[in-house]
Amino acid sequence: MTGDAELVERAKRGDRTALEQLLERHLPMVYRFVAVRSAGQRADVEDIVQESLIAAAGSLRNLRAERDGSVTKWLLAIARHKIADHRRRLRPILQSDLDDMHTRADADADVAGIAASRDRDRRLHEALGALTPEQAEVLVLRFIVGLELVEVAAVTGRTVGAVKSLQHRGLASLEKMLVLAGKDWG
Amino acid sequence: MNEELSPAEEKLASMLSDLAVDPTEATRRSIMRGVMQATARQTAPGRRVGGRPFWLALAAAVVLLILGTVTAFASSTKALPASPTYMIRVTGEDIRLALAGPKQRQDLRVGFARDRFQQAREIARTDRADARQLVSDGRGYLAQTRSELSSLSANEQGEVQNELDQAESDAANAENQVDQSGANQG
Repeated sequence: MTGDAELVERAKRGDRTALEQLLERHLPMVYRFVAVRSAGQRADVEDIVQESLIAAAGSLRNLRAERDGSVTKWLLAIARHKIADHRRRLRPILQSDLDDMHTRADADADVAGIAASRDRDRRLHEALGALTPEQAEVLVLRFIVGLELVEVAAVTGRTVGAVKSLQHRGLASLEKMLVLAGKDWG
Repeated sequence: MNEELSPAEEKLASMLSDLAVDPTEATRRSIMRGVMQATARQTAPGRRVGGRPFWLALAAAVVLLILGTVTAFASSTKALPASPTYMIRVTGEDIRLALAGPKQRQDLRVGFARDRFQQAREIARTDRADARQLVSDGRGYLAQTRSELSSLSANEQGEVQNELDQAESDAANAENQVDQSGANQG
């Protein structure tokens, strides 16, 4: 598979196929990031993702993609600004919005199963919110957005070792909180 | 992705991954279609990604040189969007942006934006349409700055972010004044 750095260089020279390949490759990651950060409705998330990718294409010439995670860091910085732009217009967080956005096959699950799953998600959201901001950021980027350790390190400006440590401590705190909640979280 | 995780950590990581919201195939296609259409407009023949074409700036510079008495150029720096000299104002700004370094370019953009917000406030009562356009164009400059912020060093990003925050406040004030003058007229 062609690397990001090569795609960036080709896209800078006007190769639209390379540009499309580059943006399409990172679209799911940007989408997951926007969905978890904005907690808006699906249409809002799609708008923000689209605006982010258009802005990214417009500022491509300033990107230096020689290091691992550079493209991820650059795209998430743009997405972060776009989320901020939209925040004033977004509706307050509604749990139903989050539920609507989930693409899991609820339709095939039994009613009790859906309720249990949503209850578990809610408890997880609460537990994430109770972590330190640094731990929550790492866990969200790592497991919800789906970034590799080296990408999380690039995005957060930390070393891979520091990210691993935050990840470990975050997961330990999360486990403790869920156990304290007195329920079988598995 | 879950290298070096204990079984309990893996279980938690898997639960967190379940919170991820992925775009459907149709959503991905729809977003990419919009992005590629928008970037096609940006990269149409003679244009480069993310800016006005160089030949246009060059041609305008030559025209300015031939026609341009200093007074004509100076007067264009306050030209309003409805005026024919507004294009000279914008082209003059483009030339200054093209010659500036990365950080100075963002400072200039924020400066151009704030000039517009100030001017919009001055003419809000007498020329609402132009005032609105000035605010919109100013916001355009701020959006460009935001989309290129990640290309600056951390210190520079902090400085520019401060300038952006002040400019956002100016924009909100200008918008309020324009809206208020509309309400008074209405």
